[in-house]
Amino acid sequence: MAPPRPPSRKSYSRMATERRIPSEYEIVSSDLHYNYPHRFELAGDNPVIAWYNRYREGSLLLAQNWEAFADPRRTTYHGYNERQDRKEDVVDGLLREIDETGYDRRLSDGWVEFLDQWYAPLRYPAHGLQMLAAYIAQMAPASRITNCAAFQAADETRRLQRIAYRSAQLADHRPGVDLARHRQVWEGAEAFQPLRELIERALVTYDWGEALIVTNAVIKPQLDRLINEELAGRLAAANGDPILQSIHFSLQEDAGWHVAWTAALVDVAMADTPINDEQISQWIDRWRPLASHATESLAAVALSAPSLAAG
Amino acid sequence: MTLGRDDWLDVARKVDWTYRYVSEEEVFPPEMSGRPWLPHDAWQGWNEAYRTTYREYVSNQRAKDDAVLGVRSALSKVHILEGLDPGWLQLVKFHNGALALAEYAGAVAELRMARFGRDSAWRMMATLGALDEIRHTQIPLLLGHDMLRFDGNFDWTHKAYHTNEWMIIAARHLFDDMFLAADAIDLAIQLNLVFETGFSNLQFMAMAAMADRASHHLFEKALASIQTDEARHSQIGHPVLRTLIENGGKDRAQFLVDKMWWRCWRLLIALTGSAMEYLVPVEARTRSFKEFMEEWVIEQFTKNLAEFGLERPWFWDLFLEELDSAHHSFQLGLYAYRTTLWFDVAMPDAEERCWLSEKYPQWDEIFGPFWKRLEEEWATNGEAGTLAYALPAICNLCQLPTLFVRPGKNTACTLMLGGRNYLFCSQPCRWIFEQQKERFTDHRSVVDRIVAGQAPGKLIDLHDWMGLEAPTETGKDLRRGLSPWRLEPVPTA
Repeated sequence: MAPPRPPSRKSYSRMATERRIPSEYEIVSSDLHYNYPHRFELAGDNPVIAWYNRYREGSLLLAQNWEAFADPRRTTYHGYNERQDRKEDVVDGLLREIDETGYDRRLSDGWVEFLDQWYAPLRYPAHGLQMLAAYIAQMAPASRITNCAAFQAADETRRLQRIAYRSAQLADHRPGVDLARHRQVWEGAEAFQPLRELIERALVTYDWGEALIVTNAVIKPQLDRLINEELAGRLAAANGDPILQSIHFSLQEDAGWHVAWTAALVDVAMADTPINDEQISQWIDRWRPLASHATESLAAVALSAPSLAAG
Repeated sequence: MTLGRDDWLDVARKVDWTYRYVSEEEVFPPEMSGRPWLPHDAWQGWNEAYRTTYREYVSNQRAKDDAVLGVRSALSKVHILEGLDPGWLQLVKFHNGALALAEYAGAVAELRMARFGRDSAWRMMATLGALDEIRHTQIPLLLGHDMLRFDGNFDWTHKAYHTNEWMIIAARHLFDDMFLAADAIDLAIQLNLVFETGFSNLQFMAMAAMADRASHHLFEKALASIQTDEARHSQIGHPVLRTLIENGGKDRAQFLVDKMWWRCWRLLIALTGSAMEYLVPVEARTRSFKEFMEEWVIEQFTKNLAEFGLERPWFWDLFLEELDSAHHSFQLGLYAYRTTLWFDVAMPDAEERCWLSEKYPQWDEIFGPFWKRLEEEWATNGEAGTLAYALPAICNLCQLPTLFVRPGKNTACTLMLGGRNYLFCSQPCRWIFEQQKERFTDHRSVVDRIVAGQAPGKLIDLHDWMGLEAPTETGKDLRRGLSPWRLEPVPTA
């Protein structure tokens, strides 16, 4: 005879959904940072713990209850891979089409030159954005925020690898595209320097809240639109490169979600602690000039493309 | 012609640049990136052995999850759980509680490397590693939630790390030290190299083999699938160790390896050894814990050490001696203090004792008498006679009771420092503590907290402090005295 079993439960006791059974997203994503706030086992003067105390617990972005945040897309690990795998299938198909149809031979010399000079080096700032997302993820005070930012870091990896693949593919098909030169362009070309400065300064912005706002509310909305919708979007289409536009349409879907979850998080922060409104505005005001300068400077390179985008 | 991975991936893997507007040291501060702090030139040869692209990652991981979740929808029915061995179920409860949220802390550690790792290829591997660890949190949380209908104490899958249960405090202490409160270099060596390449296959693959034989096919599938991710991201450790050694950090590397080898060994005794040999039904046991250790951990890992010109840890002889007895001693401690655990603990029955004696020829002579005395206590005084009431001595490093190696051989030792007397289970624990005093001196063990009045001394209050709802959640004798040699039922059952 088996011993009696403990009584059954409908859900995990720490899931604050009252009587409702939590969704799969809630079950696997909620309340996982057991060390927040101030709950490391080792002492506070440990350098890493001191870092968390200073930049996470001590962040100027405050809330009583970060658990109130939920990803509007309810992204689980399984859901993430399923969605991205489907999108990557589409991009694979587009890249195959380039190989199979002699597409690159039809691109004008001027446009290939433009891609070599201003598109291929974008893998460097894309990596900066990956690092920024990884920072936000590890410092976030709630696991649902960490998950969003971790998936965002992976999305930035996706973008960077697609830019790299497309650049290598083009180099394979067209002489003059020099993969070894792109770092030098990123570090040397005037039009990239304001963006480089912006990314570098954002990387050393360690207050968790400020890093979040600078990256996701200031830099990314402007820069993602410029890269995915303008340079590799409308401008590409105007220069006979509609496949690049389609690839970046898919990448912009990722960026759209980054904006959506950030907006939902900012709503939670402001509803929880109204003074956050002022703090967020201060950060935006401080960073916007640098960000605008960076995107305007990069946007101006469109003038060197053979054809300008309509409108 | 489509490009192969090697035709383009380097273009994406190597994307470091020279900082102009801020300094490299500001971007990679030593407290997060690690020491010795070397300029990027020293790190640019960082290469992982097996490469993966994002595209391959999402496709492979989707397929792996589909396989696990497919089994879940077929096999997570209550009637299937009813068919599982009761000891096995406790093992799953123990495993879930001890690991689900620790994996999430592992995701944070991977994210630290994804930002503060010193080469872009390292950061990229770690980004995928972070996603892996999110997976390893989500799978047990999902499967544990399914099991709540069957046994509400699977609540500990999610709850354990939020409590002050003593074994969880020991786990938090270890995982803070190993990765959560460690910089990118230390954590790559401690977590990726030592724990993941050295030890985690024992917890995942060996347990998966036993799950199969215990007919818990869903658990088997999940563990085996998780281990394939570990094998991929654990390779981060090798190139980090290599760079450290090439740049004059060999002594540091040897220290980190020795230290974490010992701490992982303590973890395995507690988490794996006792569960493998006292909760797994005999027919599901493939090899003994000692045999697994010899074959999967010792042989493989000493090869790894040799590859880097590192020595075996200085405490090797003690480690080998403990293989025969440490987890058996620990099991006696778990049994005596079972009401402070979230899972049930077994007293070995006759068949299990035969098995233990066969695998450990001295087992009956050393440990048999203790279990015999406990049987007699059951017979004469009932459950109350089988429980320990005194405060145990807890090691100030590993946070486990100081009851290794075996009865009759006490390895406990002390250290007087700053007016406080610290207690250790063994010389290696004391050595680690002394090497990194600044890391450990402020910590108080559960017993220190009780003595200092920071935790309650009365058992009932202590249960509450540990988050254990008595009597529903507190650990019991697995068979509740229903065996002929344990006549009294558990009073609270």
